[in-house]
Amino acid sequence: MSEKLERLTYVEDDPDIRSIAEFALRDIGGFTVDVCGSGPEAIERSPDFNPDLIILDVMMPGMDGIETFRRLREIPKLAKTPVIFMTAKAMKHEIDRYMALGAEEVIPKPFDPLILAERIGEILQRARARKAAS
Amino acid sequence: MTMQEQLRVLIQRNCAKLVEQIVDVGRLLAQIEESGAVSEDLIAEAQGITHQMKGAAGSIGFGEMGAAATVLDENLKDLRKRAGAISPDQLQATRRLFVTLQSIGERTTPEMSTLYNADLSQLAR
Repeated sequence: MSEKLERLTYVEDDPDIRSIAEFALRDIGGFTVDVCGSGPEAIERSPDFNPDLIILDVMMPGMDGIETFRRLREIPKLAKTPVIFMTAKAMKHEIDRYMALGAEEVIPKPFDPLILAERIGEILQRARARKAAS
Repeated sequence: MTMQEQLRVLIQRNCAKLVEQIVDVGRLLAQIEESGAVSEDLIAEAQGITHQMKGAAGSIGFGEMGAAATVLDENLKDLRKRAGAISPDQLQATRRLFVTLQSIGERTTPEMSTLYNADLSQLAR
């Protein structure tokens, strides 16, 4: 358990998946979550929300998760914020591609909502430990 | 409302939505079969729904439905690539996969979700 309430930006276009993940992150995990339905929404709101971690869907209409990731990286305040891709496109070559882009981790869909928050917490801790060591 | 009750509401809502989505895919499939000339738009619309279903069904504890939706989704993706040159045999194969999904949908109830009786008391942070 962490000392402060971590802030997550969660970007997902599918309202059904969103509702499940939001429950897992907010109600089970106790995270403060800014839920965005699209990449542009995340790009607009994230600088003010200032998340500790960003979770991105990949397949979204209009701006996909990869492009959203690139645009978020161009925002100085968010340039080093850990990003997780949560996606059904999680074949090995696809995961390798996300990691090469600079993703912190990839969580495949479908996901288990009962362990999602715990997993996110572990990833956050790992990212913080690495930052502290560098 | 307790977390358990909230989760059950989510499961019930998603279960109803998944059943509606199966009906939508069936309607689109019937249109594709009846049209003679196979429409890429109709196949894309059906595949968009099965793609949503595989993520949502699996994540809300309906693994069997998620697996059936995944197989149909892959089949429809393949049909999209072939649009305009789809044989009656290929359409029949798609229909069989849909019937499997449909039969799962007809017997699925919210209580069948693996999350329905999950013990959340140890999970909250």
